[in-house]
Order: sequence, then structure tokens, then C-alpha cells
Amino acid sequence: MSAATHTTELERQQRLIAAIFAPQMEPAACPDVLQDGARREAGLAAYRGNGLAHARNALRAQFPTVLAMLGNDAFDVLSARYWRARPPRRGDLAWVGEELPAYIATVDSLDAWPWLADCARLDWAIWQTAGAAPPRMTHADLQRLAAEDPAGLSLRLAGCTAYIPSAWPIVTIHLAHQDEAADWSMVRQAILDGGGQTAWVWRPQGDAAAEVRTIALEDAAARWVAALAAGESIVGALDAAGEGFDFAAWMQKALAEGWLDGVAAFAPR
Amino acid sequence: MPAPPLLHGIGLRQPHYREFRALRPPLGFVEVHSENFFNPHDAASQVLAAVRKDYPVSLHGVGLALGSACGLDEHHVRQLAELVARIDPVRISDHACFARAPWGQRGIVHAGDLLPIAYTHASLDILCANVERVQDRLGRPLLVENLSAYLDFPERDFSEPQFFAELGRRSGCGLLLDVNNLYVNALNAAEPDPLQAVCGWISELAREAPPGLVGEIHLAGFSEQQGLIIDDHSRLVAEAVWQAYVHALDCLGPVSTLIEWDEHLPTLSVLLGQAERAGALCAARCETAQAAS
Amino acid sequence: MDKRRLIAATSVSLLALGILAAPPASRAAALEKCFGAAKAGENACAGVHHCAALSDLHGCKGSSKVNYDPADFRLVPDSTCAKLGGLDEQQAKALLKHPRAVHAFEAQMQKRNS
Repeated sequence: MSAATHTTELERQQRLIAAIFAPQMEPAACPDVLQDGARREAGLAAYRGNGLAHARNALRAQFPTVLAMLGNDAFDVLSARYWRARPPRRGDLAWVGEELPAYIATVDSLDAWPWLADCARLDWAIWQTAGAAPPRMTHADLQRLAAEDPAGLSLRLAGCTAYIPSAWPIVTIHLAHQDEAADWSMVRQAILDGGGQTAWVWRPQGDAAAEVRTIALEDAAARWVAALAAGESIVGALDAAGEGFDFAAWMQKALAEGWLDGVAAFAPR
Repeated sequence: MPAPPLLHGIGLRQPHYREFRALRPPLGFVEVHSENFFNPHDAASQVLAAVRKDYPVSLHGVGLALGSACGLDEHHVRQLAELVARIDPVRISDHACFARAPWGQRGIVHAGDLLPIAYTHASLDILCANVERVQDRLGRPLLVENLSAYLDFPERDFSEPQFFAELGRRSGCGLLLDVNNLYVNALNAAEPDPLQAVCGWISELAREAPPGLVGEIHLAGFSEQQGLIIDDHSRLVAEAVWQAYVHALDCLGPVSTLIEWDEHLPTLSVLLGQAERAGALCAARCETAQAAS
Repeated sequence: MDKRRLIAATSVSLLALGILAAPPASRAAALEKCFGAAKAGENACAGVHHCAALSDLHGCKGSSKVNYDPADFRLVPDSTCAKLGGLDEQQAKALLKHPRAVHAFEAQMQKRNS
């Protein structure tokens, strides 16, 4: 194929994409099409409407708490602005919400609810965890842990877990949305009392049929998990966790719930 | 005389899973959207693996964007290849559309819809290259579906049937003939006799195309919104589309046929009723063919 | 107990407990749960999906609301955002630094308004 004709097609396609994601309906920006006037605008609107509707429906599934917090109308506005500001990079809608939490943090009209972005991070973590690989920890990992110097080992967190530290009580807010009888004045109190929460999210044993669980970590456990996620050695992570962290109880729960992918040689950074 | 094989299938959608599992209706195949099953670890993939034990599965993609001049997304191709390896589908299809293009600082973006391509030599080259790349990766042919297009480009080196015939000859892919899309296009083009326009399209394809080009037929319903006919798969198949379908079977012989229904999903029995109607029309053609031979 | 001994002892006792060898829950039962999961969009409670991973995200259909483009509408949070109430800029800033001070400020405001 000649380079010139390929360029013609590429430019034609670029112009249609630009017209679809343009902030205003700009038929002038549209490439030459057979249709004109209102019929051309209707055609452009159909493509925009379709792309946006697909993205919005996916975002609703991926951010149920944000949807419940904003309400349908505001969520639609947010979805439409997000779609335009950060057009999808992939054809797989499972990833369409990847940048929504960061985008929410930039939206001025949401400033009064500064926890929204972190709540969106928690929604996204739950969505990701629901489709993550099962844990890979084996007996051999445990035997290695019993036999080798733990200063030279680190624990790998499983893909079906996630932790989200926040300056806001995001777990309290999240759980209130699961509770029809939630007392919103208590939730507001939790916000005003200050103090953030670290959310810990996992899908038990990575089982496809299991529901994803979300809890708030105690401070010591939050420090422990953060250290593991940072790739610390087990001894280093225990030092980071400090007093009040029950390693034996955590490990028992970790194996029962499937929080670990295994043991790796500690590689200091 | 053995019963002819079942050729009709339905698009399996989430709200029907439970009832479908309980009923296990007689169908030639079920079809799903490939991208909904890219993740091997989620619940949807468990469902599809179980369904696959009882039915041939046709994987219908919506996101490859085979006509994109900027090329394909390697990640998307790889995920499709992995899904194909897991499911061993009876057919694999996507659309003759583009969706990916460079967009300023953001790089290549995906419009999330099936955008029209021009029926030019350059477009055909692009589509052929992309189709061949996917076929090489999968080690098997694709079916490429004709679009319902809401905008058309004036430059044109081929009629649409010629374009698909040529695509098939060059790349070895087949055509997934969406009869409803032809009818939607005829309505949106304000054809004086839309049914005749669709039948003419199909007749031209039958003349131009290599034998066996059409590997599957799609039938669906549409709706009208503000003067534009939208292919939203929201209703019963229109009677005119059934008539065009009969013409297609007359021209092409019996072909595996899918009822697509995505918006305002009906009960499973309504959906199965539409599929059975297609199946009966196919079976009648099979018997005629057997009697003639 | 020394950290190294604690880790080794814990590992030995977990090996003895055989937690990792526990058989997974019945595959068949789990599978039926996948089929029977709540509809995509069906609320478990307050808009939170039971089984979000089952959502049919993709389709090749057109949308039924083609001319609907809400991007230019005002973004006014409703629903539980309204129930929770927002914070003004000062409150938000202060809360991130001195939660107790904001608490006192809020109580003061409430008193003034009542």
C-alpha cells in the first residue's frame, strides 16, 4: 500500500475520533462525509452516545460506591466529563475506570467531598480483586519460611488482595453503603473525628464465586502490610509493624483467606 | 434421513444465565462478546467454561477495531488469543470498523464504538493487514462483520459487497453477514425500497463472493431515535429483516444464524422463539438441498 | 520471643495445621453461585453489586440515548453525598492536619446554627 493513501485513511480516522471526543459538537471538525446538516450531527451524536454509554455502564459497575454517593445524574455528568478528558486507551472496558480516582481528585465541584477519590480507589481495588488470580502460596513456601533466615526472605502479597491507605475513614464510608440502615450522622462524625483508615481488600482464596471482603486494618497491621507491599524482608516488616502486631494470628488468617502468593528472597532496594 | 444440524443460536447475556443453565435449550451454538470473558479468573469465565461443555461457542469481539489505520492493540490481540485457547470456539468474529486513532498528547485512544471505514483500496489494505495479523496469531480464520454505519465517507473504490468479497479473497477471512445492519443502513440512507436495497446487496455479494464466504448471519431488532435508526438490538427482528434473511438463505444456502438482543432484554423464551424461527427457515433450506441431491 | 524464632515457630505450627492442604470449597457449588449471581446492576444494597465481575460490559449494539451528552451539565452530588454533607475548604484542610480542632469548630458551628 502506498504511504500516501495510508496517511489519508489515518488522517480521516483521526479527524472522526477528534470530532467524537471534542468538547463541543463541532461538525466542522468532522472529516468529509456524505451526510450533512442535522443528519451529520445526528450521526456524530450516535457515535458519541454509544461510546459514552458503553463507558458509563462499565463505570457504574466498577464504582458502585461512588455511584451511590453521587447519585445517577451526577455520576452521569462525571462519567461524560471523564470520558472526554481521559478517552479510553483500551478496547477492553474492564479497564475504563483505571484513571477515574485520579480524575475525581481534579474535579473542582467535588472539593467538598475530599474522600471521594479514595473511595473510588477502594471501588477500583474491589473491582480488580474480583478478577485477580488466586493465591499461589504453597507448602514449599511455608517450609522455606520455617527453615531459612527470615531476614533474607520477604512475603509476597497475592494479586487477589489490595490495600488502600487513606487520610479519610473510607472503610466506614464504604461499609455504610452496604447497610440499608446506615446512620449517616455517625459516618459524618467518623469523618470529623479525623484519622484515616487503611482498607484491606481480598477475595477469599481467589475463588471466582466468592464475594470480595473489605475491612479496616489496625495501625500495626497497616504498617505490616505496607512494609510487605514495599518489598521489605519479613524481619524488617515486623520491625515496621512494631508493638501490638500478632504475626502468628495474621499468618493463620492469611493462609485461610489466601492473602499470599508465597515467599521470595529479600532483595534490598 | 438424519435430522439436519441445528444452525440457530442466541447471544447469551448475564440476566439469562441461570434460566439458560436450568433449561439447556436445543441450540446449534451460543455466542458471547469476547471481551466480557478476557479475564480467566472472574465468575463470568467460570460460567462460559461450563456452557462450553454443552454447546459450541462463537466468540464475537467488539474491540479489536480491525480497520484502524494505526494498527491493533497487541494486549487486546493477546487476550483474545488466550481466550480462544481456553474456549476452543466454533467461530471467532469482530467488525469491519475502526475505533483506535492517535489523539493529541494522550496517544492512541479507543472510541468504544464501531466507527465506519471508507471502502477504498487503502482501507482494504489496512483491514487485510490487521485481519492477517490476528489470524496468524490465532492460527485460524476470522469472520468480519459488516457494520451499521451512521456516517459514510464519499471516497469509495468498491461497493460494500465487493469490498467484503475482496477482503475474503485476500486475507482468507469470512464474512459475518448482519442482515439487520444492512436494513438499518438502507433505512438511514432513505432508500425508497429498503428491503429491495438489502436483497440487492445480498444478491451482489452472492455473485461477487468466493463460495462459503458467509460463515454466520446475525439478526436483531432496531429502534428509531430522532430521525436516525439505531442498531440497538432492543426489539424483535423486523418482518422486513426476516424477508431479507429468507432471500439470503436462498442465495447463500443454510448458514449458522444468531439472534442478537442486548437492550431491553426479553424473557429467554421470547429470545429462543426468535432463534427457533431462524432455525426452522434454515432447516427447510437443508431439506430442500438434501431432496435436490 | 526473638523475631526469627517467632517466624519459624509460626511456620512450623501452620504446617502442622495443614491449612494450605485444606480442600477448596465444592467446585460445583461455587459454579452454581456464578450462574445464579445477582443480575448486573441488581442492587445488593444501595447500589453496590453483589458480583460486579459478572457484568456484561461489552456489546456491539448502539445506545438507546444517542443525543444525551451530560458532560456540560452541572455536577451536583446528590444521594449519600448529600446525606453525609460536604466540608468547606478550611474544614477539609484543617481535618487533614488537626482533626480535633475541626471537630470543635463543627460543634461550635452547630451550636451557633441551632
